[in-house]
Amino acid sequence: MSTTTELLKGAAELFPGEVVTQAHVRHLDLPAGAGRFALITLDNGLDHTKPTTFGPQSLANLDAAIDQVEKEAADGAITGIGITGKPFIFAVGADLKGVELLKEREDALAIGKGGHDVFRRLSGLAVPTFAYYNGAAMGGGVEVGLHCTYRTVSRALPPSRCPRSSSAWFPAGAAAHCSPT
Amino acid sequence: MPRTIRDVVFVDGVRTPFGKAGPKGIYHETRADDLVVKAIRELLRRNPDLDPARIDEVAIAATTQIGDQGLTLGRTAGILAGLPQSVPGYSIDRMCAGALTAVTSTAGSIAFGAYDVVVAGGVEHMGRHPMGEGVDPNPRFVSEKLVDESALFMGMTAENLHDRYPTITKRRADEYAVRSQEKAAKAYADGKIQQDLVPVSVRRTNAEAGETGWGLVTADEPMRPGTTMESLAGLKTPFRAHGRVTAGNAAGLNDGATASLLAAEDVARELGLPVKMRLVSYAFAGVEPEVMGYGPIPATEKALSKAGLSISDIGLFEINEAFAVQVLAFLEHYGIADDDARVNQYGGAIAYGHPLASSGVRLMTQLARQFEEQPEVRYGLTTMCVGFGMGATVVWENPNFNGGSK
Ligand SMILES: CC(C)(COP(=O)(O)OP(=O)(O)OC[C@H]1O[C@@H](n2cnc3c(N)ncnc32)[C@H](O)[C@@H]1OP(=O)(O)O)[C@@H](O)C(=O)NCCC(=O)NCCS
Repeated sequence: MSTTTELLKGAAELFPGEVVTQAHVRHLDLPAGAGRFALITLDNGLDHTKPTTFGPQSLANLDAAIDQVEKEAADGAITGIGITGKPFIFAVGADLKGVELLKEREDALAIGKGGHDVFRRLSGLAVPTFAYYNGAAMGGGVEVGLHCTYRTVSRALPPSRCPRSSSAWFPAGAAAHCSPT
Repeated sequence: MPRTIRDVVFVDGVRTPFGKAGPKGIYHETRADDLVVKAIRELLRRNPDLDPARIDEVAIAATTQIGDQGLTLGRTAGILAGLPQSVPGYSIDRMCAGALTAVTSTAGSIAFGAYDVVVAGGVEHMGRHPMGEGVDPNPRFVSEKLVDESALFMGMTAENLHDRYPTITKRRADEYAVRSQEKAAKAYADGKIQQDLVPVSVRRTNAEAGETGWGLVTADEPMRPGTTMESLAGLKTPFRAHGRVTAGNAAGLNDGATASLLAAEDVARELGLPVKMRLVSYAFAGVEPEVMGYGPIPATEKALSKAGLSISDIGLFEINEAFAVQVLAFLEHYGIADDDARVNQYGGAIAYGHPLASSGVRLMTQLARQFEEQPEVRYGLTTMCVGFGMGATVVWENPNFNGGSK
């Protein structure tokens, strides 16, 4: 994943004011002795009025969390991996504030590609992956879950949306291209 | 209008795992109402034959009814749990016996014919609402010596009870506590407890308390398997210098919620709902507030006499373990051995914790499991002591009874 890491590092320098999303990894015991589970929570540390976004540093954080759970899965330490969001928000994709800072087409592409590369990793892990859409999800926020083996959508949620390509710097987070099975 | 008293049955009971109160506890960032909502939803999920619109009442107990435990919890929790708006609800308080009183109050109404099916339960988040939060006892209690000052502090009433029963030593209390932990660990190993727990998703943002992000609680946090006489011997006696009550032989400060479904027996049969226990009788009694742990004795006397039973008819006991001394006083009164196999077979609150107003339904859920396993037992009872000097007892009949010996 070193190329993704470099790509994101380069982009992060262009975007110093990013509201950074952490990807917390917490372990839990599944009911009925079904094993140990790693749950990634996307959280920018702010309340629901500041939805969680994926800028370059945020993607790097998710990438690092996936490094950790990938290893745990390969070592047989966990039986499953999940990803979810802070209360009321799953993730709403690109940080639109960042879009304005990106003057070069290559930079935008770098972040877009970085996002796809990180999200795609969730489909290649040694254990099943689960996306729990617990709250608002748009663009890349939708896409990340489409790479998981399974998805659930909280009943508390209004229908999730993919913004039109013109307003998102990953084309609709590419969500349209990976339709859930 | 001619009236027939109807039999009332315990259909099902569930609870959240119990947590330790405080900043490191599993529920520190979880609301109390969300805990009880989880329990109500789990009841509905487990009983798909029950149309939620058939529920006539939601009675939810909490001791400290403010904030997320206020706002007429039975009603608000019902809405939050997704019950139809037509289902009403209310709140109940009898301190430790809150959920037990939610059960008896609604059961009485079922017998009378006011309700067919109810939800009764309780919650206490002692982390968000420490014991005594916002209380304002009338100064007359002390000025007119209506109660001893110690009556307001449950741990002190437990020390007082040790004074009343000099034969109940710290050693006996500790031995009892060790057994409670052992029995609870065994019940977990045998899978007796988990089947009635609802997993709760919990969030943590404070890294000092452990891994952050969302987690899932599937087991009781307070348990201390491996507790020994040696590990208990050195614990402080916070309620009296050189006293006998310690953190090891008392229930702790805990967070948790319970909920149960009760129904008229004919309605349960008609709807195809399980019948886990049949209500026989219940009673409450007052005692001197400064020895509130004595309460279960007169309450049990009353409940047994109403049922026309004697203590020897009771094959299984679920006694809340607020303090070991309070259980031992009960056993000593009835001449039952400290380690009698009929008593708290799965261990008790010393191990699992005691989120005050929720605990009554935990006792019932455990008794229901024991009834299922032991069809030779006909009668069992759930009993608890209550702050300000009360006791509460419910006598239950085992619907699985096969005519056996007890
Ligand atoms: C007794 C009480 C004051 C203790 O509170 P606490 O000090 O917060 O309790 P803790 O869990 O921190 O335990 C205190 C110490 O005992 C230890 N301890 C507790 N149970 C133990 C056990 N089974 N084995 C070994 N050590 C144990 C703890 O590790 C802790 O040690 P530390 O101080 O070195 O960390 C509190 O639990 C209480 O008030 N209980 C009664 C609740 C009540 O009144 N309910 C209503 C009934 S009507």
